[in-house]
Amino acid sequence: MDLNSVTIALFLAAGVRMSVPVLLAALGELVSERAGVFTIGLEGLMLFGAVASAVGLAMTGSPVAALAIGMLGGTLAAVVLALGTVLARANQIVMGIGFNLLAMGVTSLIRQLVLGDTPPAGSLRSVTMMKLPWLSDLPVVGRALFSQSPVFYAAVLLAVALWLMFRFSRLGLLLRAAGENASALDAAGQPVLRLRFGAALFTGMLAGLGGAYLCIIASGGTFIDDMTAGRGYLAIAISIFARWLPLRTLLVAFALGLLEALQFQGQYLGIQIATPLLMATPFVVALVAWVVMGRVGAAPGDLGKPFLRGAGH
Amino acid sequence: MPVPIIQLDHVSKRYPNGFLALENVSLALHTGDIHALLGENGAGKSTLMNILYGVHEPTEGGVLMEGREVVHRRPADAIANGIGMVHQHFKLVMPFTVTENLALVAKGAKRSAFRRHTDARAFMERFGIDLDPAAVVGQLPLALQQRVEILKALVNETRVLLLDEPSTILTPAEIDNLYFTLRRICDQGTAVAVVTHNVDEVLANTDRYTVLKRGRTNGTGLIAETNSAQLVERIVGHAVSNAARIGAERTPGTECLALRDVSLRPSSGSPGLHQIDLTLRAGEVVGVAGVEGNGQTELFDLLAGQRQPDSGSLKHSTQDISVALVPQDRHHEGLSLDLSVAQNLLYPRIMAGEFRRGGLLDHGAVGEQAKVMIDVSDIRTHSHATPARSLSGGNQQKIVLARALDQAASVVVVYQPTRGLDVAAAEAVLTRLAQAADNGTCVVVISSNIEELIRVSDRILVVNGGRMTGEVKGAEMSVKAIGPLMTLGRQSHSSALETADA
Repeated sequence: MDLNSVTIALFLAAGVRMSVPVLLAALGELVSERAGVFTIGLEGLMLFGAVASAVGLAMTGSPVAALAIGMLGGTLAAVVLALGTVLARANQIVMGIGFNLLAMGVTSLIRQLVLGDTPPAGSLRSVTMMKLPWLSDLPVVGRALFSQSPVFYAAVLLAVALWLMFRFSRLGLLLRAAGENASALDAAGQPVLRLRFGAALFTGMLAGLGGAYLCIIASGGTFIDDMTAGRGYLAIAISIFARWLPLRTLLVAFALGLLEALQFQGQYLGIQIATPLLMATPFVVALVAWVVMGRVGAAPGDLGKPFLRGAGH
Repeated sequence: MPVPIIQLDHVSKRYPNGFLALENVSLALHTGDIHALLGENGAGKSTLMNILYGVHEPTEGGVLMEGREVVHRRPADAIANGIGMVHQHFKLVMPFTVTENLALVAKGAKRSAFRRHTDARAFMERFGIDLDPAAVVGQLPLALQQRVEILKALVNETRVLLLDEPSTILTPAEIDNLYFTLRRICDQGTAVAVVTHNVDEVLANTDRYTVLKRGRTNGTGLIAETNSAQLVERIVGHAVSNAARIGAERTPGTECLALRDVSLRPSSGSPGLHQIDLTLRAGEVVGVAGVEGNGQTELFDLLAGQRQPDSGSLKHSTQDISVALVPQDRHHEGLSLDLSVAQNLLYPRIMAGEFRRGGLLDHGAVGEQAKVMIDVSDIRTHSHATPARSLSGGNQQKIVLARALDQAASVVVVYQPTRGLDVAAAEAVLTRLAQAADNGTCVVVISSNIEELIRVSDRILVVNGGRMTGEVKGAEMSVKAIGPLMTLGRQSHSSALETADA
C-alpha cells in the first residue's frame, strides 16, 4: 500500500496505543526515582495491575471499574514492594527482581484459580475510544491523537501535571530532595520515608493502570500469563532516557511506541524489515539507555540508596 | 540565674555497638550567649549535639527546655521546638539553588516565605549575609555553603542554634565574620552553641564554655573567668605550647619536582591556575596558604598527577620521583571505609605485591605490620581488623597520613592535614610531617590554617584566585604578612582582619 494520509494516521494511532502502557509505567517510575527509589519491580507491578483489572472486569462487568481495580491492584502490590525497599531498606535491585519473578507466578496462579476460561462479555467501548469533539475531525492527527482511549488523554494530562509539580510545587521540591540528598532532607525535619513510600505507591498505581490498559484495552479484557513481556523494564529505560523529565518521557514513550507499531503497520508503509528484528528494537534502545545512565550526570544523587538516619557517619 | 533555654540533665549515650559516647553529661545554654563546646576528637561533642537535635536519643537522662522535659525523637521534633543545627558535613542539596535549600526547611506558616529569590534575599539581609539566592549551592565555595547552612537553621523561629565545628573550614578573617554573624543572631534572642577545637577563637568570641573529655564533662564556666592555658589543660590534660616552631632549620637538598609557567583554565567553581612557577626540593616543608577555593585543589590535582596542565610544564627531576597523597576528603578519596584499618594502611604495598605467601595474601603479616603502624601513629581503634568507618575523624586522618608516609615517596602532598583534629592529634600530625622532611622527603602542606603553616613550613606560598600572590620564608612568616596576600582584593575581609589585629 502507498504512503497516504490514512496509512500514516493508522500507523501513528497504533504508535500512540502501543506507547500508553509504557508511558504510564514510565511516569510512575520517574516519580519514585526522583524520590530516590529505584523500582525495578515495575514489571511485576504492571502484571498485578493487569490481573487485578481482569478480575475486576469479571466481577463487575464494568470496564471503568476494571481499570480502577487495576490501579488498586498495582497500588497494593507496591505496598508490599515498598515495605521491603523503603521501610526495611532492602537492596532495591535484588528485591525488585525477586518481586518480578514472584509476580509472574502469583498472577498466573490467580488467573488459573479465579479467572477460568470464559472470555469476558460486554462492550469495552467506554474505555477504548473517545473521539474528542472537533479535534478528531482534523486530518491525520484527528485519527492519530484524538480518537484514542480516554486513558491516553489522562496520561498526557498527567505528564503535564507532573512537570508542573516538579517544577513549581513544594511537594515536587521535597520529592526531588528525597532523591538528591535524603539525609539533608531528614536534617531539615522532613519525613523522608513517608515521601518515598508515597512516591512508591504512586508508582504502583500508575504501573497498575498501565497493566490494566494492556489487559482491558489492548487485549479485550483477557489476561495472559506474562502479558507485559518486558514492558516494565522498557518503561524504566524510558524514564532514564528521558532524564527523569515528564514531558520528555512522553516523547520517548511515543517514539518507542512507533517502533513497536512498525511490527504491525510496517508492511503497510512499505518497510521490509524482519518482524523479529523490529520486536527487538525497543529493547536494544532500552539497553543503550541503561548503559548511558552510568554516564549521565543528571541522575538523582541518592537514587537506589536506602535511607537510614545517621548512616552517613 | 535565669532558667536556661535548653538543658541536658545527666545525659548518657551508649551506641548499639556498646560504645559509651557520653557519660553523665550536663549542659545549660542561655539566650543571648555563645557557648563553646570544647574537646578532643571522640570526646562526645558531636554526639551531644546530635542528642540536642534529635538525631540520637539519650540512653539515660533527659533534655529540658525552659525547665520542662522534652523528648526529641527526630530532628523534626527539635526543629518544632525552635532548635536549628549547622552540621559539620553540610546537609545541603547540592544541585538545588540557595532559595530551594531554604524552602526545604521551612515549616508551617514559613512555607510560603521562600517562593521567590527576592524573598530569600530579604531574609538573608536580616542577618547581614550577602549571597546570590539563585546560585546553585554545589557551585559555591565552602565558606558560602556554610552561610547557606546557617541560614537554613534560622528559617524557622529558631531559639537555639547549634554549630558543629563551623570554623575548621574557614580562614581567620572568615572566622571573625562568622562570629560577627553569630553575635547578631544571638542579640535577636537566640542561644548559640559552637563545637570547636580552637581555643583562641573561643576566648575571643564566646561567653561560656564546656569541655568534654572522653565522654565526660571536664570543666564548664564563664570565658571571662578562664584563660588559654587552663582551657588547653582541660582539653588535652597536659599543656601544649601552640606557638612553638616544629622542627629545626632545614637546608633543602636537590630539586625533585618543578612547575614552570603552569596554567589550568578556570571553570565553574574553580578559579583555575595562572602561570604558577614552583620548585620543590628534597628535605623541605613547603606551605601553601590560601582561602578555600583559590586554586589549592587544582594545585593538589596537578602535583598528584590527576590533572595535566593546560599550558606550561610539570617535570620530575629524575625517573624515580614518586608522590604520596593525603587528599582533602578522607571519606571518599582517602579511605575505603568498609575495609579494615590494616587494609587501609597497607593497600599500596599489598597492591605492589608485598605480604604474599604462596600466591595468596598473608593476612597475618598484614596485621602484624599494621599493628606497628597503629602504634607509631597512635591510631585509636579496637583492633587492626576494625572497619575504618567506625573510627573517629581524627583517627581516620591518622590512617591516611600514616599510609602516605609509609610509602617512602620523594614528595608527600597533604591537603588540610589537621582539619577536624583536636590539639594533640594535630600536633602529632605536624610533628610527623616535620620528621619526614628532616629525613629528606619533600612535604607540601596545603592548608588554610596560617598559624599551623608558619609553625611547620620552611617557606609559605600564598595563592589567591588561582595566582601565586607571594612567597614568605623564615622570620618573615607571620599572620600579618600572609593574611593580606590571601585576601588581596577582598576589602571586607582585609578590614575584618585589621580589626582583629587591633
